[in-house]
Amino acid sequence: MGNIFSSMFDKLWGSNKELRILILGLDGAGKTTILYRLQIGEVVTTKPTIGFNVETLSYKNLKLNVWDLGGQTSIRPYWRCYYADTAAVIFVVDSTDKDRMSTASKELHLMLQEEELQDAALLVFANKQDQPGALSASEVSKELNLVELKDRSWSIVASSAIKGEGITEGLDWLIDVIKEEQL
Amino acid sequence: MSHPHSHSIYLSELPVRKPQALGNPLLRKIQRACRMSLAEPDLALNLDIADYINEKQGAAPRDAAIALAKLINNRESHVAIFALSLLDVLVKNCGYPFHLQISRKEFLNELVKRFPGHPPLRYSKIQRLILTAIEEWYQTICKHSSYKNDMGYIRDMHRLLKYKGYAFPKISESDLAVLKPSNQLKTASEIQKEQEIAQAAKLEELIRRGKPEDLREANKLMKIMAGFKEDNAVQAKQAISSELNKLKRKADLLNEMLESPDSQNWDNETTQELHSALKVAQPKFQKIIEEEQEDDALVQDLLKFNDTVNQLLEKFNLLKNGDSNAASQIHPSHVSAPLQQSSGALTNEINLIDFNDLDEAPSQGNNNTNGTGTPAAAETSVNDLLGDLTDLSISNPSTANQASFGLGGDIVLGSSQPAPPVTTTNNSNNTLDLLGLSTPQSPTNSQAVNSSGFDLLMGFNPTTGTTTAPARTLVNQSPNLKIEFEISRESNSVIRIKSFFTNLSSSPISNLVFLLAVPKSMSLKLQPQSSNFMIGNAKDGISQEGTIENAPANPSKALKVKWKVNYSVNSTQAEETAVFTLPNV
Repeated sequence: MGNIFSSMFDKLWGSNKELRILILGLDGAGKTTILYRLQIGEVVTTKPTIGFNVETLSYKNLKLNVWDLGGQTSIRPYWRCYYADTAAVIFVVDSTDKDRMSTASKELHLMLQEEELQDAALLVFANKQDQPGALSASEVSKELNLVELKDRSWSIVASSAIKGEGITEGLDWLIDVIKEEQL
Repeated sequence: MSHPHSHSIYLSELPVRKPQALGNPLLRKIQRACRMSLAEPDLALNLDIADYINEKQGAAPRDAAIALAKLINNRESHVAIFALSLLDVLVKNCGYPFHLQISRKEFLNELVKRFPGHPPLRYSKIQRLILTAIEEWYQTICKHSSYKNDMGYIRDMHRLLKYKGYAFPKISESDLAVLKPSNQLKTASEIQKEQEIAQAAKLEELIRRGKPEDLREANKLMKIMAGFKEDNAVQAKQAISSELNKLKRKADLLNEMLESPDSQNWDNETTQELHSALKVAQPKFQKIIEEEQEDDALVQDLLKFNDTVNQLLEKFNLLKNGDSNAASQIHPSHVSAPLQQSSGALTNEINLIDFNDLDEAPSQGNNNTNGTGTPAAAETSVNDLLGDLTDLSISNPSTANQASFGLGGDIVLGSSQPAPPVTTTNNSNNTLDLLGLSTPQSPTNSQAVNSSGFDLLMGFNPTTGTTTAPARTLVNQSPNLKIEFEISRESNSVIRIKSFFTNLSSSPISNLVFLLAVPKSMSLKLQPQSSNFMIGNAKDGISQEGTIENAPANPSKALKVKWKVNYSVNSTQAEETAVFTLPNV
């Protein structure tokens, strides 16, 4: 009897929990476009994010608080102010921006060393696949040195936020990982 | 060349699980500092904890405040006394990030959780220490700090306790002096570093609170912190200007006292204080000149002021040594600006650390103990009931503890749990921009299509001439995992392989690692896996591309590769390995 009640309680508790998700990446990678693609399913005209955008989504019976933070150089040091209680990080990369792949890799690994993110899952979008010259997901993965991430569940998905491709596949993976590991 | 590949087959297996977290070092230190077996507070450990918090920042001030509030309510009085001792050290050494945490409603409510609604006939030692702490904070950081507006709830708790009849102990001036702001001249970079730490702490608190007005305030603060508004730089300049004006007034005062016919003026306390203030500030002049060398007016002003200070210090020393004749030959010039101008500059200063709690009017406290308010009594009952319900939580004890933090005492400031974040957006739909963006896409897309067609033609013509997609080949199938290869020939000497992994079980597969070895005459290049985790029954949940070079087109012997895969399923580590013969391509 106690076990049955406990199990039911766990399930109820999990399904009511709100999950905090951060969308990070260099400026111009497509973070805000992805946020509103998720929220309203449309492409919105964006300008550089100074500060942050935050939206609450319902997805697969889960309530997600999704925070999209500005990616400009002067804002990146303050990403750390948002790390507390984060369930997952979505890191967005502009796959056509070969010149700044090493910067993106550096920022990614620097961020993941933070203690407050040690339990967060990582989803990488190799974005702008609709553009000519875009690196493939596996090429982006190599540039970002993702295989070095030993203690974390991670995945990389090719995406085009403009076309809406890859976004829900990536988010499905992320939700399943969170359900498995954190709820 | 191929040796590393054969060696890689025998790499040590990855750990079954993610390493267990070592636990929060900060909380362990705090537990050690408050353990019962101590004879007296461990001051060295307390200072070490303060240094740790100052270095780490982030959630550390908050974690420490929450842990201490609970220890202060520990039934063992020794533990509570040590916790209060550590609290005192942190308040005096960690500055604004920690002050922001002790000014939270939840912290203050927890602090007085064991206080009865009416003051007892005689205070316990712990009650006396808590009242002393609140009185110290009330007389220092609530009144004199540059961010006193963030400390409103300390003021409210002080007022509430006084209203209930609690008497606060008298605090000596020397104890208060530690927490009063130090009026020292600082360089712009020193000021900006302090600003950054304070603003980061405030940003985290605003994000945690999560109400719409808090998020709007947080976005404004982000603009300031990122330098999109020059408020920080302007404030730093104003702070320097303000301090310099104070020093100039002190210099003029010292000048008048040293000019006085009274030969003993150099020896009184006021003169000594003025002298030491100028002496301490002088090394900063050089640093400020170095940092602000583009500001010619400031540099010239500082150089002139420095000359005056040099003369005053020399005159002071001559008088001190009894050489009044030589001293009378030195005539430092008047340096301070008219008072009105100074006050004008002061009034222009903006305190950027302020944020308003206008939507949360400070509570006067509940009147339960007066017996006059049924709604107040009901409110208390509701709070107690909420506390009881959260204590019943089975699945997540730590969350339950967090939820009951700040509830359940007799003396309570109105408690409010953080609200979930509400939509805020910086976006605007601009049709003109949208049209502008979409037009150039068309020619680019058609070029891409042409390029793609060209590649397709190049890819197919020289080899087989077939237009069908490469077929998949089953490599292995176990109860849990199916592996398939999609094999195609890229050139006369290169074979391309794409691996697909399907989870056949209903349980997730995690930490999947796939290894592949080819004959020594060939060279294998593998791209990274797309993932290392698959949900139950995921089809093609993980994929990986690679190429085999130096693979001839029509080999006399079939090409064999050896593969190995490790993964975790149902908390069990699994390994599968075999040799696979590639079909001819």
